[in-house]
Amino acid sequence: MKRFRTKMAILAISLTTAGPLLADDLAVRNCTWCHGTAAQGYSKAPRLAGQREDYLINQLQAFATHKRDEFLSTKYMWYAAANLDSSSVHNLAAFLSALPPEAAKDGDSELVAEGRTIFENGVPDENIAACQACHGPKAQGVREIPRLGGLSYTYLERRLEQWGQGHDAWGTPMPKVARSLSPNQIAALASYLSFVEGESSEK
Amino acid sequence: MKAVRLRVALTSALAIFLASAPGQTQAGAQDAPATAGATEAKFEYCTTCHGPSAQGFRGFYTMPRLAGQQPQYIENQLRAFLERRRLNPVMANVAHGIAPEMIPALVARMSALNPPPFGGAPNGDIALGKEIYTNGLPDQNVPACSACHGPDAKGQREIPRLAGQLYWYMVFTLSIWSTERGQGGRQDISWIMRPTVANLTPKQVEALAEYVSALR
Amino acid sequence: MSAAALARQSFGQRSRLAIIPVVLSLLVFAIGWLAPSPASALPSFARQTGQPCATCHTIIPELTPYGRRFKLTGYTVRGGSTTLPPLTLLLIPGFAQTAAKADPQSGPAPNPPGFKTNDNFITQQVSGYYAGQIYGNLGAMIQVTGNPGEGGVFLDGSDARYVGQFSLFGKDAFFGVDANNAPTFQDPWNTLNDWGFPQFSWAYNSFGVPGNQIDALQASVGGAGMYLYWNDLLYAEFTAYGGLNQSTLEALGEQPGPTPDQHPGLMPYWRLALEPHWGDHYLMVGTFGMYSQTVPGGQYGYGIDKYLDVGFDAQYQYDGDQYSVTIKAMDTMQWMTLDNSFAYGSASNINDNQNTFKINGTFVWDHTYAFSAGYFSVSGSQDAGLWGATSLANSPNGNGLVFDLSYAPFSHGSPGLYSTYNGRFGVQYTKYLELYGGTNNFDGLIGTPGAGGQHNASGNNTLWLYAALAF
Repeated sequence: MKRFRTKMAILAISLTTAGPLLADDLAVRNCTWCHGTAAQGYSKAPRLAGQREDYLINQLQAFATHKRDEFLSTKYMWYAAANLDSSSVHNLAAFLSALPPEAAKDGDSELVAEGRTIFENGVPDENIAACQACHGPKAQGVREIPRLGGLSYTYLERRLEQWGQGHDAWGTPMPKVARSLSPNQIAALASYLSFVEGESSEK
Repeated sequence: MKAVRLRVALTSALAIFLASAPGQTQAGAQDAPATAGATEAKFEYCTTCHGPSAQGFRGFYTMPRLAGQQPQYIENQLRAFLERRRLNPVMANVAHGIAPEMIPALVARMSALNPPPFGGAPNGDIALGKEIYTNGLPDQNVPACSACHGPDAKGQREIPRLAGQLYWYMVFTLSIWSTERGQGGRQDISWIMRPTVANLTPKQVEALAEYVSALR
Repeated sequence: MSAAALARQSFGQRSRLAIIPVVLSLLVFAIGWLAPSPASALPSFARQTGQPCATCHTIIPELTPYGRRFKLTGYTVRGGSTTLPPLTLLLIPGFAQTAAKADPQSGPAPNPPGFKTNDNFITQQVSGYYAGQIYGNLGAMIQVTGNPGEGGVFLDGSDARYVGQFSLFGKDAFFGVDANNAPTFQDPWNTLNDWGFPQFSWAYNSFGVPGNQIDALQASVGGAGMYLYWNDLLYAEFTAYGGLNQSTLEALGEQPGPTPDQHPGLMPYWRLALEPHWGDHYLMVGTFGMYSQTVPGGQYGYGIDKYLDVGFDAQYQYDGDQYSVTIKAMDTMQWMTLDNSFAYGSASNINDNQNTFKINGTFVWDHTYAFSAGYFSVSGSQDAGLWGATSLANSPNGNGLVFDLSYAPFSHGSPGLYSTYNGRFGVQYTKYLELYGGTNNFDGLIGTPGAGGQHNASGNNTLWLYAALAF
C-alpha cells in the first residue's frame, strides 16, 4: 500500500538521520536504564545525580574488582561495571556528579526529627558517632565520602543493614556504625536523609 | 532532729548507691560505671571518627590525631568541650557522654598508640615550616614553637603534641583559634596561643602544618 | 488442494466460501493465544548488556521493571563486551497430551507431518532474532519464525525503535519512535495480547477460545507510532497501522494464500499506562484500544467490517531480592460492525460484541522456579454465521484455567564458555471449562461424518511438557 510504504520511508529516513543526534546520552543510558531516566534513582538502584565524583569512581572500581559484594551489587552492578574502561568510569562519574540531585522523600516523615538528631549528634550514650563529622552537616559528602542527602529511604536502610551484617567497607567505619544502630534508628536516619535537599556536587 | 538528719543521710546514701548501681542506662553516661567493657566500647567509639589507631581521619571535618597525644591535653580539651570554652557542638555531646572515671583509661590508651602519620599533605613548604617551628619569626613576634611544643613536637604536660597531626586540622584550627578556642577568657589555657596565631600569615600556617604533619 | 482453491473451483471468481479463510484465521489465532510467537529471554540481549537473564526477567519472558526499561529505552543498553551482531535462535519443542484425541482430519490446517491425534512431540517454533542495538539510539527485535512441520518462514512479531531523551514539564522523559507489525508487541507490560500469560502454549489444539481483532491483526499489518515514557511513571503511546497488500504479505511470508484480509485506511492504536512504585512494589494501571477495518478475504464490494477494541489492564509486581510476584489482569471490550461479513453472509448480525478477560499470577523464586495460574474468558454476541460451524449455541463463549510450573536453571548465567544460553523447562495444564458456549458436545457435531466423536470442552484439556531453548 502506497501509504504504508511512504510511512516506512519517512520512518527510515528520520531514524537514520536522527541516529547520531542524541547518541551522546547513550553511555549514560547504560546507567539510567536502571538508575532512573534523570539518574535520580529508581527503586533498588540509588540516585547517581549529584553524587560525589570520587565516590562514584571508587564504587565502579569496587564493582569491577568485586570488592563490593553485597547482594544487589553481585546481582546487577558486577555485570554493569565489568566492561567499563577507566576513561568511561571517569567521564560517567564527572557527568553524573554534576547533575542536580533531587531528594527521594520516601521516608517516614514522622521519624525525620529523630533521624536528624542522630545524624547531627550521633548517640554518644550508645557510642554511635555523629554522621555529619564525615558526611557533612547537610549530608552532602566530600571527596570520596558519599552524599547521603536525598538518597532513597529503601536504599539507605538496605546499606546500613548490610554493613550491620558484616559486609566490608574497606577501612571506613561504616560497619562499626551500622552494627551499633537499632532498626528504629536506621529507619529514623534513612527517613531524615531521604528528605534532605542538596545542590550538584562541586569539586 | 538527729533522727531526721539520719534519715536524710540514709536516703542520700541510698540514692547515691542506686545511682551508681550497674545496669543503669537512663541516668546518663556520667553515672555509668567505667567497666573495662564500657571503656573499650567508648574507645571504639572515639576511633569511629578519629581513625582505627587514632591517627586522625579526614571526613567532611578533619578529625585530629589523638594517638600519642599528651594525656593532660586530651583531658583539658574534653573539659573545654563540655564547658563550652572550646566551641564544637559534636564534641560537646561526645564529652558529655564520657563518664569522668573513664577518662584516665581512655586517655592512657590514646597516648600509648603510635601509628605512622596520616599523611596526604602538600609538602612544598616543609623547609619554611621547619624554619618557623625551630626558630620562630622574631620580626612578627612569633616565638619558636619548639620552645613549648618540644624540638620533636611531642609536647609536654598540657601542651599538645603536634607531630603527625593532620595538615588540614592544623590549618583549620589555627584559623579559627580566636572564635572557637579559649572562649573562657584568660584563665583558659588556650588563650596563650592567641597572639601567636594572630601574628602568623596563612601561608606560614600552611608551612608549619606541612612540617609537623610529616613528623613521627 | 487448499480449501480456498476448492471454493474458487466451485463458485468461480467470487468465492462464497471465503468464510473458510475467515473461520480458519479466527481458529488459528484462537489457538493457544499464540499470535505472534513470543520470544523468550534473548541471549543477544544478555550479550549486549552484559547482564544475565535474571536482571530483566522474573522468568523468561516475563519482565522485571529493569526489563521493561530496557525495552522502553530501545533495546540499546550496552554493558557487555560483545561485538557480535545480536542474533539469537529460539526453539520450542514440546510433548502434548489432550484429554480427548483430535479428530483424524481436523485440527488446524495444515498440520505438521507426522501429527497424531494425541501424544504429539513437536518442535512447534523455530525462530531467529536480530534483537538488540542496531546503531546508536536505534534498536530492534526482529523475529523470523518457521514452523518445521508446515515449512516456510514468516516475519513474526517484530519492532524497531529509536529512543531519545528530553525534558518535559521539568522532568526527564524518554520518547520513542516505533515501527512494528503486531499491535501490543511493543508494549512492555505482560498484560496485553502479545506478551500476556501464557506466553508459551501448545500450538496445535483442535479448539480454543476465539481471539479478538487485535489478535487477528498480528504479523499482518504494518504500523509506526510514537510513545512517551515520562518521569519513570507515565507511558503514552499512539501508533497507526495500515494493511499490507498481498504481494507485501507474501514477501514477508505472512497470511499465505490468494485472499488475505485487507485493511483499508489507517487503524489507530493507543495505549496509556501509569506505573507508580514504592520500594520493590510496582502497580501499573492502564488502558488501550484500537480501531480497525477489515475487508475479509479481500472481498470488496460488501462494505467494511469495523472493529473497536477498548481495554483496561493492570499489573502488580513485587520484585524482591529472593522472589517475585506478578499479578496481571486485562479486559478488552470489542464492538464489531460487520457490514461486509453480514452482507457476504459469513456473519448473522451486523453488530456484535465480544469481551476478553484474563487474570493470572506468577510467582517466581530466584528467577528459576516459577508457578503461574490464570483464568481466561471470552464472551460475546451469539452469531450463527460467525460461530455456528463450531458452536451449537452460536456462541463464542469460552473460559478456562491455565497452570504452569517452570524451571529456568540458567537465569543467572549458564556454565561453561557459552554463558548466555537460556532454557525454560515447563509443565503446563490448560483446563477448558466452556468452549463455544457449551461444555459437552458444544458444536453439536456428535455423530456427524468426519467428526471423531463428541466434542467436549474438557476434551480439549491439554497437558504440555515443553522446553523453550534460546541460544
